[in-house]
Amino acid sequence: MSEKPYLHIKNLKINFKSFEGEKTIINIDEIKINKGEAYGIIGESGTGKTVLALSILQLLEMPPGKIVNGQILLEGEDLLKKTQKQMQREIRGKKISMIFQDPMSTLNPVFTVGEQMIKVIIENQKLNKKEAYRKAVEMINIVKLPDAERVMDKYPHELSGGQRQRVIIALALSCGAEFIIADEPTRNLDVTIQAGILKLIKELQRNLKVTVLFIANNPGLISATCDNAGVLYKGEIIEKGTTKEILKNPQHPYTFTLLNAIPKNKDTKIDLSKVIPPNDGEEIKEGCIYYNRCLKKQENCKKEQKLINVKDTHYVKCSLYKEGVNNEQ
Amino acid sequence: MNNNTNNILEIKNLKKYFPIKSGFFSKVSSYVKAVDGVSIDIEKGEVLGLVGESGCGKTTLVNTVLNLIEPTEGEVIFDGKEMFSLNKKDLRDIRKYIQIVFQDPFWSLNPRMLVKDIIGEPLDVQAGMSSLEIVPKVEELLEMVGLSKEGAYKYPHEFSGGQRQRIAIARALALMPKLVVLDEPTSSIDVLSQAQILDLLGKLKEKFDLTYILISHDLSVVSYMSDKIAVMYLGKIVEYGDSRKIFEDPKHPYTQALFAAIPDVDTENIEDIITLEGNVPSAINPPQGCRFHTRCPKAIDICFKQEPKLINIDDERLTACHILKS
Ligand SMILES: Nc1ncnc2c1ncn2[C@@H]1O[C@H](COP(=O)(O)OP(=O)(O)OP(=O)(O)O)[C@@H](O)[C@H]1O
Ligand SMILES: Nc1ncnc2c1ncn2[C@@H]1O[C@H](COP(=O)(O)OP(=O)(O)OP(=O)(O)O)[C@@H](O)[C@H]1O
Ligand code: SF4
Ligand code: SF4
Ligand SMILES: [Mg+2]
Ligand SMILES: [Mg+2]
Repeated sequence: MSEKPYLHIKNLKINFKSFEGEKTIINIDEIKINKGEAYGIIGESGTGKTVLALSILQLLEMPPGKIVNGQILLEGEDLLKKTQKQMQREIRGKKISMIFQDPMSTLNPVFTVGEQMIKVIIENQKLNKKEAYRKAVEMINIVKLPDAERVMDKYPHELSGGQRQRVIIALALSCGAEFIIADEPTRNLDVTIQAGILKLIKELQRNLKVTVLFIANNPGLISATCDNAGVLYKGEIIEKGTTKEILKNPQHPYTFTLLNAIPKNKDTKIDLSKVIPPNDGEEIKEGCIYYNRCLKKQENCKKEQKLINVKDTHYVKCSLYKEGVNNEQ
Repeated sequence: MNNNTNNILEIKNLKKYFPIKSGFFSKVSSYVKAVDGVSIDIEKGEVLGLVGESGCGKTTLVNTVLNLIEPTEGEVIFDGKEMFSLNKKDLRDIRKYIQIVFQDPFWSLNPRMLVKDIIGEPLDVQAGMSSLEIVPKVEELLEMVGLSKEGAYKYPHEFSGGQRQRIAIARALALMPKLVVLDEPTSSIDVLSQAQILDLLGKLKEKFDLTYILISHDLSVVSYMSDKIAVMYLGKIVEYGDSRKIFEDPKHPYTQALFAAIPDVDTENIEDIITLEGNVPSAINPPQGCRFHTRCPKAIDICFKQEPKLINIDDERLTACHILKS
């Protein structure tokens, strides 16, 4: 496991300024993503998943956003040190492509799919129009849209939500992206359409060795697609490890709570006393981010917490843990 | 489904076609067959889960039942009374027994009204209570849904999503309804708030002898709450019956496909997710024969020509499929 991570986020802290002053939105100790793997981020609404994704591409609005400190290393090179121009020329849409929740934020409604794809391909590769057309058709076939040539002539609004997401993935592939950030790409899609998109993303990772950062608020999506994952709570990675470890053997009180709050079936009642932390209102300035809702808090929790390695690649940010000890809950 | 005095609601061959107008004279050129012949009975105290892909007609079905939109054809019998033949006054009287809670409470709660007026509105308008009577009633309702009574003098935006959903529930329960329709009640709130809302809904149901129709895209929520489920595809019910049984062993090819498409935390491999080919066909021109035949992996010749009837395949289950027999 000593291989160098493909993407390495270190001590990243991002603040947002508002009328009420500055607020920390992201405070991540470390995320390591290996080349060719699918890495998942699990987090509820408003925990900073999109802010994290945008910051990797330097697409965060600044101000109000502000990088306080940290590094985002892509193959050892700090993306945060690059200028907007460099990001545009070398990274965005070239090496890294992003798939948003809303596909229309990426597609231009006044051009056909074909026009948009050919433009991107010509910009990125030394191909003439005819070759670019062929390449575009090839990519549409890869993302399994039937009738590629007809799809080329369509405007985005003539496609369904699932078809649009496929076009965006085809766009990403056609400019040779080796890293795809998917920010809840199936949030607005029907479950049967979602299934197809999940499979497609997994295939790209497996067969084309594309590295994937998959962001979701539904742990089930991460379970099926990602090898490793991190849990984000109020901007902090509070637990990370293999997806299996996190979902089957959660250690952090928050992860445990989250997973136990998901309904299963009629015969397994959710035990609210285990699940629902009453927000007792006691806010602390330093220390554990989960303190005011935690059922297991103790005096120690008011100190600053660090990610602790409890087992193999499993890390937990909680005072209940010591290096190398895996508590069963 | 035969007559049963225990039924709070009986829906009989209900249809709702939305006209599509086109051309210079705005002539009706065709119809969206959003609900196309649905029959279903709901017993008192039961939770009926309604599932199916987006656009299959779930919301239209309940809106038609609630008489919020005009039915095209069919009958709805609520508590022994045929709803569509009632006069305005009787209809208004009966409407207070049927309430609805929508997906995003932010949009269904008027942002410029105090919570006291939001919850108090049905008490004032429909029950004709005086403002002196309303305030203590509102406070009681707030406490019943787990909010403090000080909340009465706040605006909706001062509450979190989960709390707003509680306000919507308090309002729906203000007039002591018998039937509550929950249309995606938890899909805009986080998992922890969802667990609390589901718990609250369960407790209120017991306490006030309520009957629920629950619509949700989240099958785990439906499985958790429902006694019966109805699976809809393109305006029709394709499978109906005991919720536990159907979740354990879905029989209709569409139900099977729908369930297999959804990963949960126990889905370890992408191969465990099964995808359905193609998109949902248009409800304007639904496929001939079985509406599911364009995507069904098990279709046989007859499926292309003849529409399957919804029949009992065992004591507790109805399906509409040519390859399923009792
Ligand atoms: N431009 C902005 N200005 C100020 N605050 C912002 C801005 N963008 C995001 N935030 C805040 O940052 C936090 C994280 O937002 P973010 O959009 O990353 O959440 P998320 O995890 O992606 O949520 P969701 O699941 O709802 O998409 C939120 O509290 C949000 O209010
Ligand atoms: N007012 C309307 N006019 C015309 N067509 C409509 C109208 N309301 C709904 N429809 C159509 O009727 C069909 C059923 O819609 P409905 O909203 O009932 O679906 P649903 O199952 O509730 O979907 P979702 O899960 O997305 O809420 C769809 O094809 C929809 O486009
Ligand atoms: S550090 Fe303390 S407050 Fe934070 S999660 Fe662990 S036990 Fe709970
Ligand atoms: S009737 Fe035929 S097409 Fe329809 S679900 Fe059954 S097998 Fe499939
Ligand atoms: Mg987001
Ligand atoms: Mg609906």
